[in-house]
Amino acid sequence: MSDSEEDIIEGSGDEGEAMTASEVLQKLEEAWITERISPTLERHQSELVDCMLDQINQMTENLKRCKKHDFRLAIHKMEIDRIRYIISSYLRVRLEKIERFAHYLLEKEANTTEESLAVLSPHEVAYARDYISSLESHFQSLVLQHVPENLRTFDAAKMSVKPNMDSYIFLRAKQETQGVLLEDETGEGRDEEVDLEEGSQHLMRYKPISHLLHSGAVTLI
Amino acid sequence: MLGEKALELIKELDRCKDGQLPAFNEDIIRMVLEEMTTLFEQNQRDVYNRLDRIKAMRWEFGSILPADIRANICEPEIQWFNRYNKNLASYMRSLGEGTGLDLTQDTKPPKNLYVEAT
Repeated sequence: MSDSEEDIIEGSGDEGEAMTASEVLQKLEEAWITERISPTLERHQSELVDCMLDQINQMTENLKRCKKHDFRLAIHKMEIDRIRYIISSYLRVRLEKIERFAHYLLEKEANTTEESLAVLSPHEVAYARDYISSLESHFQSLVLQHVPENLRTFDAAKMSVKPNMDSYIFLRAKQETQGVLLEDETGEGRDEEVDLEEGSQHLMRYKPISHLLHSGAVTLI
Repeated sequence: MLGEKALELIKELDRCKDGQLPAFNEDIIRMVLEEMTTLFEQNQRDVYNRLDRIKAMRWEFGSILPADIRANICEPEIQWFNRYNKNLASYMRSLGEGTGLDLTQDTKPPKNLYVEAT
């Protein structure tokens, strides 16, 4: 069974980069950790998710067939449970943020034309839209009908929340990165530029390093 | 006290003899409208917070709410809950290219296979 994990199973068409199951899992784990730490919603990884779900189903099928040794069965079952837990947790964290920042995310998504920069998966977009719509209908039926004219507009902007890009996060530099621009928070123009050594760890605000996160130069810890 | 300013306006009008009008009290009217807005916003927040809790129920109790909770929520809230449920189910079904994944399960990491004996 361990042999099959080294098989090439994922080929990302455009980039021509094929990955083994363990590589896919590792990327998914990293995406999961990042998603839990990041103050905003990160780019969706539905390809990785779909791939691992497929893997789990295959593994489960294989397990059904081999009724041998209890011991090996238990270990593989635990691996399956572990992977399913990671996937579920990852998607749950995303849903939580989608619900919290629905309005902001949909607006941003509407202004994003490039598919590779999309943050929400198509199904997540549908989810966000229906969620917002359900809130609007609810407020409409419960409150707005019974309230005098001057208060009647449902101020979606007031109820919606934006992620705090200034939240502090821990990160590790995966590669040497020079010239990271840190703006002076007090607005007094004392901007700083720092160099990050490979392997170094830092505590910084999310906003200045988000582009490094997306390029893979740093990872959140 | 709520509505104190509005009461002031009414008293002002009442104090005048029939047919007479006091000066248009712009200041107090403004304060009353502000108070209305504040109350409304607080009300909106409360409605929203209730929905948040009802949402949490879905994740804790599943798609059927226990009787004692159902007793405390109004009809529109029940409808909202059903809609939320439907939306969530639809999303979960779409995962894994149609195979589906129940996200309300696996809420804790799997236990360790071996227990350390000392």
